[in-house]
Amino acid sequence: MRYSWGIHHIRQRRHVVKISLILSGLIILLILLLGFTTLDAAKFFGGFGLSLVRVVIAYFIALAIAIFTALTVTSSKVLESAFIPILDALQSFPAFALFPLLIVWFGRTAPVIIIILVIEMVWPILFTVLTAKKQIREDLIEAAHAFDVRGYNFLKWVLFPLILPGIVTGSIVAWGEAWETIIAAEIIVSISGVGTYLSTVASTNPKQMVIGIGLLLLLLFLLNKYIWLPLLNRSTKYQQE
Amino acid sequence: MILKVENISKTFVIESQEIKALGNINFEVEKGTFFSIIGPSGCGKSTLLRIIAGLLTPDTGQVKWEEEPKIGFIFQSYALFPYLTVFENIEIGLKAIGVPEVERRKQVLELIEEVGLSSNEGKHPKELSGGMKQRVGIARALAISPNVLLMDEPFGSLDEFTAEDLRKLLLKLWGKREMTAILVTHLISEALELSDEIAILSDKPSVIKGIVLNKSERPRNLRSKNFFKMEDRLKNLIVSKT
Repeated sequence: MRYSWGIHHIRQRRHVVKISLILSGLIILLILLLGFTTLDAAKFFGGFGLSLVRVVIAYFIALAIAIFTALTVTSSKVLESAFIPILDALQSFPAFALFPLLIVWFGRTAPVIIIILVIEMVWPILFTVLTAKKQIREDLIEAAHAFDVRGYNFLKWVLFPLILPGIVTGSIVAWGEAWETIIAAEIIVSISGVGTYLSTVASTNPKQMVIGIGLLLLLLFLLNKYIWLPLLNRSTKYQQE
Repeated sequence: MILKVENISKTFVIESQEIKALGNINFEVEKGTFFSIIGPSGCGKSTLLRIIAGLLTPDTGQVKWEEEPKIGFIFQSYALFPYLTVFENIEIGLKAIGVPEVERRKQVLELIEEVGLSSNEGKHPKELSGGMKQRVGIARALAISPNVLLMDEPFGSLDEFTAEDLRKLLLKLWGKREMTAILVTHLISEALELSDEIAILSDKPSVIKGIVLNKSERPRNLRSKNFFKMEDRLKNLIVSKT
């Protein structure tokens, strides 16, 4: 299984954030040295905004697909033994191989990027949620049933909180992969976005490209620090003993 | 009589091997009594209790209730939801059946006091000792005002001193309520201290070897001659071949 994340991974992620902080300091220093004014801010932030919107849309689609699939597959032993090997094999499928087909169907448009992003993002979330669901203690399920916690209440009060740490760790990994993917995907599809911006300035103004990459890393670090890390910290409350 | 267990059997398939846990179980429980099921480890006591609770379905037989059961369940592992506070864990059964918030709050706070957890209502399970966790488990089971209390080795994970305290608390709480208690345990002394009737289960596939009545007055003297005599009788029944 390519993705199988646990509590040790959460700890590792904290370590990654510390390293990111140091890197961010270096990036800011680099930007100051090269001169921020050389950057075409409107184009950079416009491109970043478009890419961010695509990543966010793809994230929510991937999240819904991953949670639905994980809960359906683990709802019975028969489905689980039939589908987990299939999912395990499917996750190795290279999403980029679909570009020619998607471009034929949708043209050089944003949906192509979003579909590729969804395919890349769905796996880490799916497998962390699968792992989290399978690790739910049987006695907690029994306690819920013994006290008549069923249906929607069961989902809301028991199942969702217990898989939440899996959702958050999977999302962090998916989010990271999405940014790697979108840069290349935007260049391949040739539509505006931060990837295309960086690709264009690479040939015309390499200094702008270096500042752009630095700034992109800084923005991604800020998103991690102010969105994902607080979510990660909150999700530890839902870890089983 | 409140409960009649008739011809219950249960087989599990583990790694394509069939394991018959329960043979052909039959017994009755009188309303308001403290009934214990005792037997060697792994004999299927917990399986039987889960069938009575409706958490497992038997392969054959049925569980007949004389009146509609309202079941409170206490787990050996406490089975507390880690993200909920003491208060929220206790109120979950009331919330599930739609008891209004004001009423819920009143009942839960009363129970918290009754089980000796005052000023701990905002704590999470990880902040509690084993004994405190089981007090929460007891309060959660009692919150729904059950007429049947099912307990699966509720003191099995606790040290002897804490277990003794909780057995006293349990007897006190049971005495104050009109409630039938069914306890699963592997401890003869625990069954004798608490129960009016003790069913002895054989090894797998389990059958009832006998039911022993325990009519001695409460609180029971665990060092009395009669207690030791009863203990020997139960031990002999457990190790006997038939």
